[in-house]
Amino acid sequence: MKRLLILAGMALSVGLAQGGTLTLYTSEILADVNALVGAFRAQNPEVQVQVFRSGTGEVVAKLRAELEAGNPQPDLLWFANEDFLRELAGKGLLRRIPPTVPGYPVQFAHGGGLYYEVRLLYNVIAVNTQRVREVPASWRDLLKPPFPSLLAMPDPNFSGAALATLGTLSQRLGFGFFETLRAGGMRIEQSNPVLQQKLARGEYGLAITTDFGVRQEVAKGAPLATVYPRDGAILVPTPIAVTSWSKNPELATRFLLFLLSPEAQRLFTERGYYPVMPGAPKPKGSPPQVVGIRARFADPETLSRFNALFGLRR
Amino acid sequence: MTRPGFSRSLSFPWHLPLALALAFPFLVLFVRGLPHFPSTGRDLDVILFSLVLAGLGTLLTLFLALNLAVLGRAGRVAGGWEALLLLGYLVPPFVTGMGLLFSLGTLGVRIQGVPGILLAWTLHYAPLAYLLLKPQVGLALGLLTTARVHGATGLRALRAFLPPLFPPLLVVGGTLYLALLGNFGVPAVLGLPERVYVLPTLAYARLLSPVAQDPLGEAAALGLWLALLALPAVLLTQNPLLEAKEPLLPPSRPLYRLLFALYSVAALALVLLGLLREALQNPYTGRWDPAFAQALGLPLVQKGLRNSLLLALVATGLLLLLGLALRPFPRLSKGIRGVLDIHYLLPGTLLGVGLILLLAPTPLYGTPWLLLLAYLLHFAALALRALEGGPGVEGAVLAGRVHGLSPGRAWWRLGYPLLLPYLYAGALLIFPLAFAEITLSALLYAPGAETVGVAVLSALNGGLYREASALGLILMGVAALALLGRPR
Repeated sequence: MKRLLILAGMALSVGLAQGGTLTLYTSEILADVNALVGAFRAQNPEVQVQVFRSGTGEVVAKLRAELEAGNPQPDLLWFANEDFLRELAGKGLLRRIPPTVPGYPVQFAHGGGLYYEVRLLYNVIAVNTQRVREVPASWRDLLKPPFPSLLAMPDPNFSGAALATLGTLSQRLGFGFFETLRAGGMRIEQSNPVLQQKLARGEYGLAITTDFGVRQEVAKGAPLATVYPRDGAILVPTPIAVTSWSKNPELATRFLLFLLSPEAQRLFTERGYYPVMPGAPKPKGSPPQVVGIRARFADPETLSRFNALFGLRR
Repeated sequence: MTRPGFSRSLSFPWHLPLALALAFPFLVLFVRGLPHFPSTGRDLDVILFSLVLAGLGTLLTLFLALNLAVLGRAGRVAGGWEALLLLGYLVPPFVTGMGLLFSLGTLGVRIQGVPGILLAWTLHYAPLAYLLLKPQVGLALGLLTTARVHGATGLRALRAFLPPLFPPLLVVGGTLYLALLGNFGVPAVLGLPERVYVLPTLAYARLLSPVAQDPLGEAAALGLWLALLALPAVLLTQNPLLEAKEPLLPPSRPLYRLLFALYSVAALALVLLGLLREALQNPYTGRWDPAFAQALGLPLVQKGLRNSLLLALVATGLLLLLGLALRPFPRLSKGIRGVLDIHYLLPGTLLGVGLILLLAPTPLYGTPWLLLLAYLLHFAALALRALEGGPGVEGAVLAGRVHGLSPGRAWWRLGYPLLLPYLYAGALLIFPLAFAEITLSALLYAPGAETVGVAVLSALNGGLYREASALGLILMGVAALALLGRPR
């Protein structure tokens, strides 16, 4: 009898969950998230989606504190900090969702579906075309004077994307790459958005930064151009995952898979991102083919060397 | 000397348990940070530098504000010019920093690092210090006039003028020092490219650090340092010295008024030039293209404006009521203010983390009430400090008591009316801060109940700097209306 009651209770809770509430913690641009949530809710009007959106640092700090206090809230996590997701996966706190969507490149379903890339973002060389006439074509070209003196990148202690730049380029070109840039006068800014604003207004001539933000400024008329380096633009992971403590895992999975649907992929493209599904249209003003290299985040030792080199603290 | 009011009935040290209860969010951080405290030895340079920079900024701001207060009082500056001066204080410091950067960039000047931070701090916080110093300067000017009447000139006149100002200067200096020590926005914009670190930016970096073993604990350890550095300001107390009722002001000086107006315009222009250009003109094509419609059209902004207005009004109202209720009990008030000062000083992110650790298991969590509670804890020190002023209040209440009024009636009829200007200053101090608050709300807002600060941050993170500038200007516009309508 008791068992029956429990079963009935479970059935009831599942039934309620169908029309339940999803909580998403994300560092995505809010306008983009809202558009996606709106499209999802048009198909699932019975589902409420609550979004907590903040900087990656705030989202991670909030979640860490919630975990420590024993009451984590989100059903879905979506931010630019793969290391933290890996840490959660290692503790068994992410739910594995088998990658069964036809055509989806399985290499983007990490750990066999623990977390997913749903659109792509690259670190590229951004150029202020009013300050720099002759444009570098590869990462190595940045070493040629006067490029280093015109160049800036975000602080890898603050920006996950910059941590990817540091890890990837120091592995491929050696740490000497950054030593030469430093000797030539490269500067460090706090974040990608601040860097892009300063670049667009001519404070710098060149920047190592995310392609998506630069495209947005170009659309507003900024004298900027993106260079996808010959030797490979750095693919920055910004994955989404379903948490193991989620009370609505089916709904959360439905939301995740919705992001791979043609409609969601089209929304991503409209907003300047590369879609992850093959065959989806590419964003306006972007090269049709991008040579991408998978990002490798800098290890603590490399980051410490970088910090010492540039006088940065963490 | 016995204090007027209810002090005698308060022999039990009520402030101790109350302070302890209020200290809980900080105690949680203390526990988390303590094991990492020894390892902060490597940050000693940043700790010392934060102390020196905040101290220097405080002195500069006090000096400027004192001069402004003299110009303002002696020049009988009217509401309009004063409102102009105060406007600059009503944008978030982060936006002041960016505005200054772009204004000076337009003029071909590149300002970064220590000079940039000091300039931005001084410009941003001088109006606040002016507001807090003004009533006291008025009284001191009255003394100066009296001294002149008695034939004192030059240095001797200054000797009559300055000493009565020391206690208020100390208290206002304490408020400024706390604000500068805890400020994140300005050093983040102007300091990092020059590798100038202060404790809040370092604590934030550590919180996000990809290589920290225990980010929360290591950031909390730096929070403990902030609390330690705050101690001198926390311990500052004020003894009411001046008893003059109506200040006997020197004759009005039009030149002073002109200087005051010139400064107000110049300081505002220095920040506004960049913001206006951003908001009104496409910075790339130079075309006239106001961003106000886009800013107001952002999905968040209207909701954020409504939520922030409500939160800020409720928080300001409750805090000032609390301040008034505690005003007759100076010992109690100063006792708990010590704890509240720390909450005001802690970077919003750290106080937020403390509150999550403490309250995540409760039903309060994830509701808008959590943010209200955070605002109350964060801004309460300001309300208490603002109302601690008011020389002559104690005397008036004592006089009322001598004439047979009960303590309650003496305060109601005599004490509180004298506090009205301080109440107004307090509201003006807290409301804009709560309205445009960023760091606490970035961590604690209830999903779906965003604030204006979240909207500004979201715009900045999304590279919408023009919309953020427009939003900053809209906030200033709203505040300007309130300023112009204020009682004289």
